[in-house]
Amino acid sequence: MVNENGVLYTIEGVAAGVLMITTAYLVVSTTVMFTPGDSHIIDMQLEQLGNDVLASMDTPIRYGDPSPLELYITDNDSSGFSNHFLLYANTAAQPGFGRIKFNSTVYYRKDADVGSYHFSDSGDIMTGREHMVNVNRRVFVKDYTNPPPPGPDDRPQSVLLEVTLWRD
Amino acid sequence: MWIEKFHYWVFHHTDDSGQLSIDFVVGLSIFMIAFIIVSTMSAGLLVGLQSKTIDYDAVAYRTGVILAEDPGEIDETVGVAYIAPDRYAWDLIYPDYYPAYHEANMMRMGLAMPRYYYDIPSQIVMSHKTEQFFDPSKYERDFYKDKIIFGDYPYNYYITITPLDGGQSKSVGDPVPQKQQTGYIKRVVMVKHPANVTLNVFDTTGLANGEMTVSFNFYNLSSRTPGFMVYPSLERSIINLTNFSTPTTITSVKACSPTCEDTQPTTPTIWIKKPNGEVWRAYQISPLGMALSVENGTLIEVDPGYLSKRYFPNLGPVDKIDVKMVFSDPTLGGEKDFSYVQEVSFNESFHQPNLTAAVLEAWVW
Repeated sequence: MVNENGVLYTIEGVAAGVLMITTAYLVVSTTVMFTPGDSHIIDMQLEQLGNDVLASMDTPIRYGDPSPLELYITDNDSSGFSNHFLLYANTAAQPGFGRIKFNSTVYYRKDADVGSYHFSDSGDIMTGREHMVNVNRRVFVKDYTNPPPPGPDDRPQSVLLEVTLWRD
Repeated sequence: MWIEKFHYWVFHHTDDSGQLSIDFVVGLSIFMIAFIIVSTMSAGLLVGLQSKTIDYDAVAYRTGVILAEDPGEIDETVGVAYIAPDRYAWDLIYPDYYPAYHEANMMRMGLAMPRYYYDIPSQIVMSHKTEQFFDPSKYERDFYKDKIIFGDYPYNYYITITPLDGGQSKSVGDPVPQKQQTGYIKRVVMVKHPANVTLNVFDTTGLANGEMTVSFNFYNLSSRTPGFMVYPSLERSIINLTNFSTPTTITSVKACSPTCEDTQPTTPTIWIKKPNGEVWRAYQISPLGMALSVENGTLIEVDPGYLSKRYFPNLGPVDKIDVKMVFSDPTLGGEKDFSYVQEVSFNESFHQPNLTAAVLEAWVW
């Protein structure tokens, strides 16, 4: 027996299929479209600032001197580093800019192992919910006589200073 | 019970109520398609709004890079004549000398040190460039847009530098609007200041007869690491004269490479300044036939760009320019060097100020 019932169900099935696919497309495409467009710009600004601050601190201010950054690591002077870093990072011509927090770690190689120690921070507890950016710089340390135990060997070496920074 | 009835109704009904559901499906499909198109477009609309601040941030970033990392650039020739001492030296073309070309030939105004050596730290800027850049009397508002902002869109800008050694901050541009999205970038730079030598004017040899020569030996000055080198062609050089025992006058200042010439009547040239930095008189003392009295702490300042190939074409093969001063007192004088090592027993010294940190910020909207 032939009637139009089958035709009816096929069209409904096809229509439902089209609807589902277009709905899925709509959901996926709008999700991509609505991603906050400039969060990576904020990351970029923070990363640029962090790299600039470390580069400036790693520049000797007088001919023949070690850089301030090298001295802070040599002397394990975490408060000196913190003050210097926050001064550079938080100085701004207008209020509302600045308020940067940070935490930093030094990585070094000792024989075949890579070790690390906590170096300095801004005194803030990281909750893990901050929007953080990592910057790092290889610092050449000539005279490592006072490393925190069980720190690196006493030899001229490059250590990796990693700074995690975020805005308040 | 009702299930069988339902099945029977679904599979065995023969009335035309099904036609309605086709209409419904078609209508719903058309509606959904229209809805999809509209919502897709509205999503795009929002992206368009967002991208404007993204653009501002990108422009601000570009400006920050040009200021902090780029020495700038100038079109160094007009026709076949070289007007620039150096291709990066937008700051060394003086309006007194080339009024028409000085701005027209400028391409970018960067503050960084020229990259002659691979190990010049990227964030070192030169103090005379920042002074010139932030001098409100120097350039028009729109001129900055052409040389550091770029783009067809008429961006507004505010650029400021805040020294971290307690100095006065400087800025160019319009006040930053509070109720509008702006692009922003902050860079940290180190500022390199001009070096000076303190020289003892007393003649220990007894042969100088009032003539004092200060040699700028370019080869010897290139011995330091690039970040701390003295660049006599590119920077200001300062000579601090001491040990005048009796009041005396200076009767001539000439530059010799190798023949001695009067200094230029316009900038760039050599200045004579009082110990407090006040300009006593500039250039060309001898043609005017006037002598200037000098005292302990009198400064001889050479403008950036003056001791260069542009004004002394023999520089290069010769590698040396002498600044020759003549005093009226014949017991003064001698052969001196503008060099890193000075005669400490004569109370002579070389002094290079420490690099100072500064925060450079740019807003664009």
